[in-house]
Amino acid sequence: MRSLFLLLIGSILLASCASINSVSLTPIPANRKTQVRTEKSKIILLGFNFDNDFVDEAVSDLTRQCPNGQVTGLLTKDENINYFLYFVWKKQITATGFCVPVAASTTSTKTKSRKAASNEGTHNSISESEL
Amino acid sequence: MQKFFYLPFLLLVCSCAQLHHVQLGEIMSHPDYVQKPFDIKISESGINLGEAADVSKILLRKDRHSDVDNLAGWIGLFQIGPRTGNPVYVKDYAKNLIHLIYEKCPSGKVTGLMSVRESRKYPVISGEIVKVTGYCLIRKGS
Repeated sequence: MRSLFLLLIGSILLASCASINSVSLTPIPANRKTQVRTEKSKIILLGFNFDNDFVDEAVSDLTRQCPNGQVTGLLTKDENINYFLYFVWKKQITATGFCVPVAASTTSTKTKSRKAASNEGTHNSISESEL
Repeated sequence: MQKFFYLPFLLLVCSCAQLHHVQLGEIMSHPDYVQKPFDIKISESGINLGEAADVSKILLRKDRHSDVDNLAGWIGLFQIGPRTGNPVYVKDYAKNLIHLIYEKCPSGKVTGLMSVRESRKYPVISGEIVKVTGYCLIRKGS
């Protein structure tokens, strides 16, 4: 009986409600072989939060996972996870995307810029269009 | 006892940070370029009408409390709608953000752009902040 009671209390305390603040998405690449992901979160107790610096590492984390390429098709999800009666909540940022190697992205850009140049009769520098 | 003298001051000065929105842009790493980080922060004061009314009630006589509520209610009617943080009275405060990015990165080759919308909450007022961090791509050797 006691363990059942503890289980009940535990499940009430640990059960959480998730709500989403915002979602953003960047253009999705054709080459979706390598996925990159980062998740940054912070536990906030009774609403006392003095900085939001936990999000700052997200970009460098993704750059580390894709050192010589372009992270694109980036889905950023900003959500709140609320635990028992809002005493504790978690702010969580999840970013998932695809790492497109520089060579691959350059090739696709080359093809694109050639097509564009042939269609419009203009010349695009590859290095300018790729960045 | 002297320690308690500073307590109200500390309560007024310390702020709570509230995160409203985060967005990441595409990230480019290229062996021919170095990434120079930059950071832009724009802030404007927001006012919490409810808290302002509560403070006014402390300062005013009891028979004027209903006037304060009415006034706060009337102003509040003009501030209905979806928003993040407290209302600000300078609507274009984040307008020049794009120019500030160009100032930080004149080449315009910007990557890893992260925009953060957050608030710093103090009693009655708040700092309504837009923060943008990113990397400026600079060609090696230039």
